[in-house]
Amino acid sequence: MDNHLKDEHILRQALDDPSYFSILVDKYQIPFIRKALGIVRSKEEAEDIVQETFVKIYNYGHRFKKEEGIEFKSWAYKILMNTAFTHYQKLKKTTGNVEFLDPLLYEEKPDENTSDLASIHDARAAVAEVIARMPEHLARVLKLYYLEDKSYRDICKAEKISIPTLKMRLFRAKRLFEKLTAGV
Amino acid sequence: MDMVQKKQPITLSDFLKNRILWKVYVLWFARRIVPLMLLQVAVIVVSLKLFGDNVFVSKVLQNIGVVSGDGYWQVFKYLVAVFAQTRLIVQAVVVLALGVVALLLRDVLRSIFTYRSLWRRKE
Repeated sequence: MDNHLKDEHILRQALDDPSYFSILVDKYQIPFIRKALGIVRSKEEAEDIVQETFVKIYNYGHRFKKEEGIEFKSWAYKILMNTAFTHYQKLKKTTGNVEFLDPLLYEEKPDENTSDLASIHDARAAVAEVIARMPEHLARVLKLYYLEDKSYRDICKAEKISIPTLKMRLFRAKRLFEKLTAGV
Repeated sequence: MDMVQKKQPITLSDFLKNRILWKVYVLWFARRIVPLMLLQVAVIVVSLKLFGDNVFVSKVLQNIGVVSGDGYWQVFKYLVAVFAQTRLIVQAVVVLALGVVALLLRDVLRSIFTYRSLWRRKE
């Protein structure tokens, strides 16, 4: 019924009438879970992340302003990625502490969580190494956006560039990052 | 017959979806309704206090008891007469309190209807 509305309009309406929010939940649950699964590789963890993400989207919905180059989708995905990353860090700490106490870990298939944990420990060093090999202007935006969690506006101000330029730079940076990590 | 089955995408269970919507509802209620209700209740309390200070309430209730034997219409007429004869400040307080009670009722009903439509839309 309300599916013809744009996401940002649905969000705005949901702030007045929360029943509209179920439209966004229905629309984004599958891509969000898929994305979260790509990070934590556990269905339960991914569901927790998605749940937290939706609540954050609603909680901070009043701060979202549609501007040129900033879509609801990219804003929502950024929240998802930040939540997933925070979750991932917590998971790393928790599993680090209870690694040898939690029987669930022993019951898992050896190549699921355990291989993940190993990769978590190496991830930071690997990312830093790859970024160091990238051209400075691309590395800088990648770091500011994904690691330091700066907004588009802040990065544009710092780099003295427009939002479309930043988006293009991020796109190129991501592509190069993927290329460089392909061989790692 | 096509024997190839498509892999179903993972979706949130109803339990999780309900939990998200419940949390969203709580946020909305805490942000939109609670501050309004607190303000309305505060205004009603202050109005009642002013009303109590300016009106001999037990006497009014006693008189209502006397006229109530003649039916609701007589009670209504008595209240209108009392209202018309009282001081302007009391009249203003009564009007304000009635208005705020109406707003409070509206917000209570809005919360209930929003809660119901939350699950209806989900279905």
